[in-house]
Amino acid sequence: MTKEVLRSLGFKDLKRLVALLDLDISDEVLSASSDSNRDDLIDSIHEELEDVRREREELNTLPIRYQEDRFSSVENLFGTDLDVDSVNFDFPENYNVTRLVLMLRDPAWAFAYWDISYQDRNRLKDLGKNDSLCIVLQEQPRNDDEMLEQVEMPIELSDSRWYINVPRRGTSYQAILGYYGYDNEILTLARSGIVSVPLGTLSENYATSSFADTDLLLALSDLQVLGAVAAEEIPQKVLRRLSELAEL
Amino acid sequence: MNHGKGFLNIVLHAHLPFIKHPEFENFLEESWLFEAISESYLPLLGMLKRLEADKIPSTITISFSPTLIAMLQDDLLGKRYLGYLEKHIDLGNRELERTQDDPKVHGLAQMYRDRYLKCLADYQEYAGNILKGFDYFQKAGVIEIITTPGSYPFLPFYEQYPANVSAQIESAVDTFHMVFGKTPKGMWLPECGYYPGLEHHLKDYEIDYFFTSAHGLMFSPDAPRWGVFTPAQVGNGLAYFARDLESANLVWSAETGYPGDPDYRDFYRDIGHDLPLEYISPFIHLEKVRVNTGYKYYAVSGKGDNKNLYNPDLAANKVLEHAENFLYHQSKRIGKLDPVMAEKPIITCPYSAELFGHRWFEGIQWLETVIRLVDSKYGDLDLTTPSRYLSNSPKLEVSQPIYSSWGNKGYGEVWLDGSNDWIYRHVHMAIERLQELVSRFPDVTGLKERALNQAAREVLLAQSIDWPVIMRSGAAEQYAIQRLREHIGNFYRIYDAMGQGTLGTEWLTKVEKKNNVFPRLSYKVFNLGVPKRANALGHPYALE
Repeated sequence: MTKEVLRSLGFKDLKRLVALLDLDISDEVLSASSDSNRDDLIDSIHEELEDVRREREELNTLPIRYQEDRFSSVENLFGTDLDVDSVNFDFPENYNVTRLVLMLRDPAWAFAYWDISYQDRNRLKDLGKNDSLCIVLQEQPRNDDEMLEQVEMPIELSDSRWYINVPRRGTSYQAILGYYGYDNEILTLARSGIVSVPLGTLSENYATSSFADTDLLLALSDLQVLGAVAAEEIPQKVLRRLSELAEL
Repeated sequence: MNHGKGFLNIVLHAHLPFIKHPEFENFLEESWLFEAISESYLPLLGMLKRLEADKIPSTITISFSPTLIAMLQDDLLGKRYLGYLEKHIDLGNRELERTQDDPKVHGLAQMYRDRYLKCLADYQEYAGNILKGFDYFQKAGVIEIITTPGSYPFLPFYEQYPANVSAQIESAVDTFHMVFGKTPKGMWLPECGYYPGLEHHLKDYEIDYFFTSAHGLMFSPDAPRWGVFTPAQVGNGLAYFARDLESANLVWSAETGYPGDPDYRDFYRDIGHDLPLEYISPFIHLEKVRVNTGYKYYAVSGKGDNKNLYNPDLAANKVLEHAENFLYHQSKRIGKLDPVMAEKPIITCPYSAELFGHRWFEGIQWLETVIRLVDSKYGDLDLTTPSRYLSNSPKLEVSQPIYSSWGNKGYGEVWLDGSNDWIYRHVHMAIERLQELVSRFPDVTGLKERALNQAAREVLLAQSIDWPVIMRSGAAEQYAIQRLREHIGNFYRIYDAMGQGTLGTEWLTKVEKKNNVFPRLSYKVFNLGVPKRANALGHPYALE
């Protein structure tokens, strides 16, 4: 949004933008629509919008930025207060079931959300265990003699979602929603499904290959423009080779 | 006949979320569709016609999402589009008057007004169904049309609901068949979102190929020798084409991409925002909300508000320059690969269809110039489509792509962060409760069947990738939340009514007319008889 566009807006609309953007503007400025207050508001809003835009540009890969931009023009900001449809439905805070769902966001982070039924909540209270809840992320065995990773996170009864740092890649995990028993053992309330975590790194087929054609492939693949997490996962030795091969 | 040393595989994926609000006379977000028809889809058809007249095969692939297809075939939206065109032609006539003393701006106003007049003529020629136009070119064998899952969901987040994934694919295949009279061969996965195992669902519906991100293939433990330059096959035989990054970057890059050239038309400067309210009010939303009108007189020029007037001749020169530059780079790469590869290399270039014409005003000219240059043997390459390439039975290496997307950082962060993660609790539960309904009512008819089919549509629509994207963008967030509320709310109204036996026809008929996607969808697809195996993939969580 340009300053010119902001200047064309009324004071009321500028104040709405301040609220939408959650800007910290003094009441004095917001309460009187003098020219100097107006200019201050426009400067603050413009600066904030530019910051948001810059941040988004830095973070996003382009197809997604295009998708987001589609929805982020000024008309949308002002179109949002329209009464869209009067469906009388409120999202419940909790479904009356006990379940745990694990979703893999990327090779480093998983997202878990859960519900605990009223019956189970009451049972936990009766047992005096409503402050002993935990989420456990368990690596799934691939062979018998492997040391498996396990991460335990204490949670409150009021919690319902959590991002979990995945300890190891190239393996599978299941999460458990449970509580600590009297001997500190974990008693299970619910288990998630199993998620498989990719290595998230350039294939060993390329990283270790010494074939001349692999060098050519890497030089022509433009891997440097991969998204940030992905690009970080290209081994330094491969990046060095890419730079050596830049003149190919 | 192919003469070049390799192939360009250009794929345009056309998608818009399903937005239709008969309850309002004028609904702002419906204009996303009207802008895309006027600025992208009809001009693309114009390009195909011009190329056909010159006997040049277009040889590109276009994916139409089922939600977009539903909107393009909707009578109400069709009528509203005609109103949109009339208004824009009227604005053009007024602009011609207003700018008569300024020849340069006047010329631009005329260009836009004439474009809207042409849109009107073209739209009427297709009797309001522009998909017929694309189908004509598909039947002529010059383009390949494919599809994408029903409501355009990010499929990896539904991996643990296999019946739901099947429903998304079935609704896509069925919609495609209804419109084009055959089943699609290819599937554009929303934002290249793939997870291992998805190919089994695709194969169930006789899909031959799909697309992944570049690292979906190159980070695979058994990545093929030639990376993104050949398709590979998954274990079950499905082929997949990985997105090429270099050719993508030439178009997408904010800093160096072609659309940002100073001579190209600026997207943001629009008279809807620039001209006095008393003049522009009849042409903006509800006469008070400033919106883009499509009349944009400035070039990208540079950063800030001081921009040069747009000059179409300068832009046309850049189009040629950029088309040649694009082909130069691709030919150079193919020239290096061809001598050492057993098969001819292929460069897969997927782009959003709405980028062309709508966002990048000259994008369709650029695409047409690329196609014409290839036809004139500029560069040592040929155009192809996935089916055409695969019909020559190339030897494909077996390689298992990884979970990935073309989104920010390469995985699922765009659709799962603090702004939107809350939605999955409700969407997933709605899927489970729909499956519960299917097991309770496995084979009903009449009103109950209608209600369950609509419940299935509502659950699918709640999964559209657009809602979390909008929530993350921060703008129009309330609209996205309201849409989710509408679809989940409609579902629960049916869920409750099925339990209480209180279903009425009036409300159901209204909802069926409003959310009229996937008309042949049967709720039974949500019960594929997939056993719920505890602790196994395919089950959302284990029951204790």
